[in-house]
Order: sequence, then structure tokens, then C-alpha cells
Amino acid sequence: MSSLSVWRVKSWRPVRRWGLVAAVLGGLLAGTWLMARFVRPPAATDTAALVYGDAAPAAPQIDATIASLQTHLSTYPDDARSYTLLGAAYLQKVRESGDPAYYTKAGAVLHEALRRQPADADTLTTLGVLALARHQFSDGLSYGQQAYAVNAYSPRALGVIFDGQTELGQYAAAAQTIQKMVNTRPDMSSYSRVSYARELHGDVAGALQAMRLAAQAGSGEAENTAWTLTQVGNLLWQHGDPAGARAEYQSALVAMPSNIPARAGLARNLAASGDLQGAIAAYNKIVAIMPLSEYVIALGDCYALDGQPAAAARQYALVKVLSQLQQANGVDVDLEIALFEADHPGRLEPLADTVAKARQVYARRPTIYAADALAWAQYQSGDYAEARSYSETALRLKTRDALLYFHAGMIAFHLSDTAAARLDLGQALGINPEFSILWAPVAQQTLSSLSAQ
Amino acid sequence: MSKFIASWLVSAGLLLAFLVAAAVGPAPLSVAASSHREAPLISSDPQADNTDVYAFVSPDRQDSVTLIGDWIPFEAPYGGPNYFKFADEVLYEMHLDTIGDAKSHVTYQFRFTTHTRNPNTFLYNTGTIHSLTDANWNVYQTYTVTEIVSTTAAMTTTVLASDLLSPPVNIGSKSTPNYYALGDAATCIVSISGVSGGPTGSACGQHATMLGAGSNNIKVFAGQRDDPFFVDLQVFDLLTLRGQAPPIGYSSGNNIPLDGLKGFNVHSIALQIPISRLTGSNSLTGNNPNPIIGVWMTSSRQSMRVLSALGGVANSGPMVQVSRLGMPLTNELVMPLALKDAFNGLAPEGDLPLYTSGPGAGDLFKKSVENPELGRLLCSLYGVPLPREVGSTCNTGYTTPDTGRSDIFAIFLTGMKTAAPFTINTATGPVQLPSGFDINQPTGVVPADMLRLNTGIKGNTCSPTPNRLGILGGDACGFPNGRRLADDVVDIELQAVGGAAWQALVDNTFSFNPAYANALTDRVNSNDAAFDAVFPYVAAPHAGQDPHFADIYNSWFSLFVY
Repeated sequence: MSSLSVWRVKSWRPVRRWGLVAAVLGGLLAGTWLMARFVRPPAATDTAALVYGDAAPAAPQIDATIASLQTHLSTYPDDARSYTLLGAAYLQKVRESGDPAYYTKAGAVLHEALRRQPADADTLTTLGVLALARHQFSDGLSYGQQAYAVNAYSPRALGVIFDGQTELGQYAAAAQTIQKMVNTRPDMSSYSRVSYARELHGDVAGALQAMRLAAQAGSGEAENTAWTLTQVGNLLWQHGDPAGARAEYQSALVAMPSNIPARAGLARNLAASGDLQGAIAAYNKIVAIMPLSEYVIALGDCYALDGQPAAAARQYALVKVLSQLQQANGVDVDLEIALFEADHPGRLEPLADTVAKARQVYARRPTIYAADALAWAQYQSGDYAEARSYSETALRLKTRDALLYFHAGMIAFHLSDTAAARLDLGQALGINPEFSILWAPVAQQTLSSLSAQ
Repeated sequence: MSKFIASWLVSAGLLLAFLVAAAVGPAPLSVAASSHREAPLISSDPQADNTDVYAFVSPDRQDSVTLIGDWIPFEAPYGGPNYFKFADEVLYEMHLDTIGDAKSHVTYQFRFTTHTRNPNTFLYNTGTIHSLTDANWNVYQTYTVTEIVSTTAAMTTTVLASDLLSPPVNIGSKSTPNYYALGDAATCIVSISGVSGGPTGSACGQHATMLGAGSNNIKVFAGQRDDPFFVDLQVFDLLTLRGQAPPIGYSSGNNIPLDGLKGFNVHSIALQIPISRLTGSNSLTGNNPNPIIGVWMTSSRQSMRVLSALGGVANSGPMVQVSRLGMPLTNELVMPLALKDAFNGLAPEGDLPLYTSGPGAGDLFKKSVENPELGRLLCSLYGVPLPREVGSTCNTGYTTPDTGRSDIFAIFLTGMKTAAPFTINTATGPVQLPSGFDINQPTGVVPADMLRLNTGIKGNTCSPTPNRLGILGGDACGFPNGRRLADDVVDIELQAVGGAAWQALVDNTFSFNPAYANALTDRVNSNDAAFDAVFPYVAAPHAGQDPHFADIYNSWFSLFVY
């Protein structure tokens, strides 16, 4: 009694049929993949890591997802939605591994998706995320706006627009965008961006409150919770509460024992408290798993302060290698390198080149941090007058950032503006007395010398 | 959003949630923490994610209706150290349209507060939890139930009960032995003075002495339960219906149907309200002869002012709806991806304006109802004929008025009236309802998505044993007339989209081949756990030490992903 008899086989209309099937297929596959995401029980090593701090992270779920999507696409090469899913999966892979080669792969499949479905908000949003991740912020903003034009209800498109506007220095527009986003959908994604907007505008208490709400809002993903808790920790640390920060990092590690940013927060705590050996050990473990410049530089600085110049030099040299790798995969790293160079003048290139590069970066994305990097590069090359002008620009939002005030104070000091120097250096140390293992002592000494006058 | 959203046509947001936002690494090459901030781009927000809504005349108390909402999809029974709970920051609401104008006239709000007895430990419990007041239970939630009545004249807010206890989660036999008793102890009664009067007190425990006898009391429960939904999740693998020969079932691998939600829990809020409070001559909204109540549920979170001029903390903002659920499969079978965001934030009174708004979102919505994608799929994959099919295209028209699936429109958006005689099974035998019989369509209804329950259809009018196929199975008390826990909405939807209700609801231009009823089923016909005979009816949750979950993992997950 086969029920096959009732199934009349329809005559074959390949084009239209596959269009429909492929479209639904993607949705179904996405759904099923999503099911797998939920159904997965916690990896055994996650729990082990709680007990054994050096346990290797579990084999990532994302690899299985990528593999199954690739297999699916080999059978159904016209399934636009699966290309989008695969692109997003590749982006996830970068975030988990730090390997920028996946950016190139993501770009390729996302453009395959776009070719087949040109006005798909998800694809455009994901392309926006990819562009942002590569620090191509104008492109990111453009994709976000295109996505928003297709789907005005999408909070995700607004998130991409906010990120792009913020990183292009369009702070007023960004504030309006995030207000729209949180009014559309209050959740972890929007709360965490409200926090960033508030932080940039000097509202530290408000930034903390919003980020704590973001952590409480939760998501289906432990990494998100770990991220938001780490951000709370970072906010606390940056404003002079290392003990509070430590508690948040530890909460983040409860949510996700292998979380690198939380571990990096703890490592920074160790360095700032004077435990360079502990910090070096912690950072070495971190860069072994995720060799990002941020951590490599921190490790190098620890070695330098610990009286190990050769070890420090090796780390600094690695920064150049990493930046080349990033650039090969389309990541714009100029701002990061400019600031590193300004902190370590002449190490990777002549200082004049650093200043020129910082100028170009500022021209492309006039953020307060690009202004600050340019100011600091100019300071290092003795151009104090212009440095002051850019430093003032950097402080235009009144962001409570010790480094910005430190740079302003040192510039004022070299311009013999004692009052401003005292004020700005005092601000820096008041915001966070341990704001930098390299520069906090300099701030302290300079301020002391001013008081002695 | 029902749990289908996690596996069927996934919302754009949810999709990106797990692919993009999951990551929380720093931006590669961010030297300063402020160089570029890569916050999560989407959150799935499980505590605000409404998975299922049920509304039915209470089987053991037929002068009352029971409303049940479930939240937190795929809540695994194991947890620790942070167990699942309701969100303190979410406003959970049950909305009732007692008139048919797509507005909420009676709303029930639930707000939760987490308490920690000893803040110096993160432990949920420091010993065995013997009772709801056991000092060993360190982290617990209480909640408040508020009733808001809206008429054209006024809006009245009444706190029905506050500081009620949500029971602990079912951890295991060391922490929560005799769990059934704990859930029992958290079932509460609010005594009411008069039909539409205010509360005079509350008591908790299934066998609590009522504060004043009488039929006006409201019952309430909020806490962890077994997930009552049941479905073979492989239906989302290109509409595979296991247990059948290919092409419908699999030609290789495991072709045995399995409830993919077996072993999972949810967090349920259940409310039982006298029918006379909602409809009838002495209802909350005055004399209301309409017996049909429309039900939907929402979750809302608070927005905030991003930049306060004074620089202080500004957390005052409106509550924003982030989840909405009425009919069980609207957001999955009807709403296309492009409209899911819109639907989540839309109130039902916005449905018709959207539907008729013309090119763009409006036409997309219209097409999704009148030419549903699921129907096109059944037709193109399995050759299922469709009512009003245009030629052999598998499309049903929608561009000119009333050329498409009026049956889907009725089921989802207005409630149903028969267009032909329709036979139901009752306690006294088969009864033929005449043409024009109003099953659950309010007079002058404003089309909007919500579950519609006719409180006048009950008792002997129902099938003597509930039929899981509801109306399609001849049981007038089943889905789509309301929704009972045991109604098999997956099968009912598959068959309805296949045209099973066409002749009863529209005309005789199409006749559903009953042979398809045997095929349009996922062959998972009941929940893994038996429902209770008493309120809140949803079964007690699986314990964290329960092994059933692993079965699902091994049998389904490994099959598909690896």
C-alpha cells in the first residue's frame, strides 16, 4: 500500500522549479543547521577547561557547519541562500580563529549569493559585516545602507550602519542610528552598541549600565555573553577598577572557559599590577591560540619592561608579519600600525612614513582615534603644534579615555603649557592610574616634575 | 516566534545570530580596544523567544479557558551553574481580543524578579530543595501578574497577585527530588470577587484551600515544564516525512520518525480564566455577546535614550515588542524572511494595513498568505494538487482580489465560517454543521493573525476523545479553533495547506483527496511526555540527569550534520 500512487510526478520545469526549491532548500538547510546548533550538547572540553586551565579548546562546531554547507553547495550550486550562510560561517571562523584567509573566502561566496539574489538584505548585511571586519568602513556603511533600503525593519542593517558611521567618525549620525536600532529591537546587539556610543561621548556610567543590560539580555551563544561581560570588564579596567574588571573577566570565563578576550583582560590586569612574569606567561598562551597584533604587542611590551629586549623585538617583528598577512586578505590595518609605530617610533619604518600614513588614515576615516594616532605620531616627530590641534580634535567628544588625555598632556608639556599639561596628565591618571604599562609611569613622572616646579 | 523558526524558514535575524554574531573575538588587528568594536550583530534572545501559544476551554473546568505560553526554545534539561529562567527585564504579555477588532482588550502581564539569598555564592542551591521556601534554594524567581482592561472609555490596571514563586528547575534527584510536588506547590489560585471583580487574595499549592469558594477564581503557574510541542524535525530537510517511502521519506539512512523535541524543556506561563470574565453579560469589558476570543502573546524589552543631555544614566524608554506569536506557524509558513523582522514588532492591528499597503511589503505579505510557499513546495516536490492552482504552475493567484488561498486567509487571519455542510463528531454521535456555521470568526472581524477560540464550543460538542487533527479530524474543539496541547499542528497545517479545509471553508471547485491525509504527516503524533489532567496541564520538566536528550543528539544530530 504504497502512497506513491497518489504522487503524480509533475512534468519537469527545471528553471522555475529549482529556483523555488533552491530558495527553500537554503532556508531549510539553514534551519536544520540551526537545529544542529541548538542540539549540540556542550563539548566535554569546555567543562574540562574550567578545571584544567590549559585544556585545548574543543573542535569547533563551525568547521562542521562549513563542511556541510560546502557539501550542499557542490550538489546545489545555485542555492543563493546557502552561499550567504557559508559567507557568514566563514566570518564566524575568522572570529574564532583569527585567520584572515577566511575573509577572502567569505567575500567570494557572498558575491556568488549577491549575483543570484541582488536585493537580499541578509547578503548585503553580511557583506557589510565583512567589509567592517576588514576595516573597509565606507564599504561597510554602504552595504548596511543598501540592506536597510531593502528591509527597513532590520535591526541588523542598522547595526552595520552604526558600526560604519562610528568608525568613519560620523558620531552624530551614529547616535541617531543606534537610537533607531534600539527602538527597533532592544537586545544584546543594540544594548552593546548603545554602550559604545555612550562611552565615546564620555558617559561611562551609562556605557556600563547598557553593557550590563546587554550581558543580561543574553543570547543563544555563550561567546556573546562572554564578549559582553568582557566589555564590562574592559570598561571597569579602563576607568580604574581592576578588581571589578577581574570579576567580570572571570564571569566571562564561566560562560565560555576558552574565551580569549577575557583571558587577555586578566593578562592585562597582571601586567598593570606589576606581575610581568605572570602576564608574559598568560599572553604567550593567548597568542599561541589567537595571534592578533593587539596581544603580540602587549606581550612585546611586557618583555621590554621585563628587561628582555630580544624577546620584545621578536614580538614587534611579528606585528609586521601579521599586518602583511592581513593586508594580503584585504584588511586595512593602517590605523593599527600607525599607533603601534607612534608608540615604538622607527621600529617598523621611518617615523616620517608613520606620520604620512597616519595622515592618510585620518583623511579616510576622521575618527577621534585616527586623530589621536596622528597627534601622537606628530608628537614623536617633534611637531608639537600640529599634534596639539589633532589632539584637541581627538578629545572633541570628551571621551573619558586616559590615553587621549595622556597624549594631550605630553604635547602640552612640550609646548611648555604647564597648566594644560598638569590638567591633562592629571585627567589621564585620574581616569585610570594604570592606563598603560609603557606610559603610565611617564605620565606619573612628568606630572610629578610639573608639581615640583 | 514558535520554535519552528529555529528550523524551518529561519528568520534573517536568527540566521545571522548563529553565524555572525556568535563570535566574540576582538577585531583582528585591533591594537587599541577602541580601534574597532565588533559587537554581536544579532542576539537570538531565547528568554524573549516565544515558542508556542495554546488556548483551549479547560477540559476539567469548562467554564474557564486556559492560556499557555512557552518561552526559551530547545531548553536542554541539563544546565548549571546558571540555569534557565525567565528574564527580569522582559515584559511577558498575553493579549486577548474579545471583540474582533484586532486590539487587545484584556492583557495579562507577567514580570519576574530574581532573588539571591546568599550573594557570596554563585550556586543555584546549596543543598536539597525540599520545598519552595527551602533555604537551600539560593537563586529563585518571583513574579507578578497584572490584568489590564481596555475599553474605548478607559484603561484599568489591576495587580492580580504579586510575589508568587516560580518553582526551581528540575536539576536532578539530589537537588530536586520529588520534583512533581515542587511544581504542584507553585500552582496558584487568585480568588476573585464576582464575575469581573478584583482579587481578594491568593494561595498556592494544588490542594490549597481556596480563599472563598466559587467559580470566579483565576489559576496561574509560571516555571519550567516539559516542552509540549512535538514534530519530526526532518520535515525541514526538504519536507522529508519519515516513515514513508521515498521520495517523501529518505531512501537511505534513518527513516524512522522521531520527536526532535523529545527530552527538551521550556519555561511556561499558564493562566486559567473564567469565561464569564472575558465574554458574556458581566465581562470585564461590559456586556459582550461575542464568544470568540483572539489570543496572542508578546515579549518586550525596554529601549533607552542613547545620549542623555545631562550625561546621566537614562534608561527610561518605551517597551519595545521583540517577539509576537498567535497562530502557531505564521512566522514560519506564512511570513517570508523579508517580513519576519516587521512581524516581530507589529501589533495585530497593524496586520491589515500592512496587508493592503500595496507593492513591496504589502504584496509580499499578501502573496505569502494567498500563494503560500509551503503549498508551492508540496506541489513541486510531491505533486500535491492545490486549490485555485493556476495551470500547472504550483502557484495560486493573489494579484487580483480573492483569487488565492482564501482558506489560509480565513484560518490565519479571520477565523473560520463553513461554506458547506461539515460533519463533526460529538459525544452524541456525528453532527452536521450547516453551511454558514461560525466556527471561530467574530462578527465584523478585522483580519489579523491570532489564535481564535470559540468559548461556546465545548463539552458534548467536542469529540468524545480529543482528535489530534482537530477540526480536520472532525473535532470542533481542536485547532484551528483554539489550540490544545495535543493538537498536531504540523499535520493539520500540512493538510490544510494541501487543501484539506478548502471545501469546508470556500467552495467546491477543489476536492481534497483523502489519500493525501495518510501522506501529509510527519508521523510524530504525540508528545514524549503525557500531559497532566489538571492545571497547568503541561507535563513536569525533564531532570538534568534525564538521559533522553542524549538519544536525540545521537540519533538525529549525528545523522544530519556528520
